[in-house]
Amino acid sequence: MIFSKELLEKVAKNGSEEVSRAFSKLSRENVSVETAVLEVMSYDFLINSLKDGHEQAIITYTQTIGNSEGVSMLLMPREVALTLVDLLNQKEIGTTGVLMDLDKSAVKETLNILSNSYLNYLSKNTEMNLMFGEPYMMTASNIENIILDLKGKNIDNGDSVLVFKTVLKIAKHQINAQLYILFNKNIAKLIEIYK
Amino acid sequence: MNTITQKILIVDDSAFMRTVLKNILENVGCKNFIEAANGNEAIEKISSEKPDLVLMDIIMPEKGGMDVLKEIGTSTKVIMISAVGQEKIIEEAMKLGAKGYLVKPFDNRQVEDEILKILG
Repeated sequence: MIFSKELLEKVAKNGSEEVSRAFSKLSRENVSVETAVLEVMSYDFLINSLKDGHEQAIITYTQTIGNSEGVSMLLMPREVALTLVDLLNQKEIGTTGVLMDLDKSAVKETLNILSNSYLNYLSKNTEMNLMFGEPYMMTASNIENIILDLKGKNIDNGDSVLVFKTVLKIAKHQINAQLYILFNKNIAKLIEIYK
Repeated sequence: MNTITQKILIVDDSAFMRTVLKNILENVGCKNFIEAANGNEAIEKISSEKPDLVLMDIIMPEKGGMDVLKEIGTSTKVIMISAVGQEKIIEEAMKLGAKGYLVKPFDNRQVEDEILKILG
């Protein structure tokens, strides 16, 4: 499966807008896309980028079903997660002080909806039919394992990963969340076209 | 406000999403609902409780929604409610006997309308 540079950039831009619309609907707030980028980088660089500054972040992740050739992660500061939970539960901001199981479920479901929104868009515009599976919570110390697992499944033994990064913002509540969609399959061919 | 007396089964591995759907059901006057957190529990509850309608997710641990549909056929009315919105999956669900399919995130009104439509 080979994609043109133009298609990949279109996916990054429009996929992010699709995610933003989904987040707006979920949160009932106005969401803007602060950043929507597509990058190709080494696994080590990605690991360090993700770990840097996210030591205390609330992180949820999921993997594509089947060949596990893709990973999605949603990262946000703890206080943002608390605000998000209040929004999702339609409670007054500041109500939630500690993330209980139901609150963690809300954050995981947010990743589920946002990441599959991205894949739904991808499916409409390419021949890719992937789905993200169950979401999980993790700490920053697990990021390396997840990324190296993705690298290990790269059939071309390449050292590059395709990264779709979306930064979503709800200005009214100072919510700033980062969504990463990562792919490894046939990455060498994707890179070749992208260059 | 409508009053729904029928029994509705909510199937989703997300406790948060089950809560959202329960609130929607209460909004349409339904107080007769039960829950399941995965496909195996769903099969058990469908057999033992005989719900009039099932609201079911697709991606779940142990057994997913599509596998449940394959097992129950058209014996029970099912509305799929999932973040997966790919045409191929929607078509497959409808072919397997689902009466409706809603893609998350949904407006509460969409769910209410679909429930009332399917229950007649």
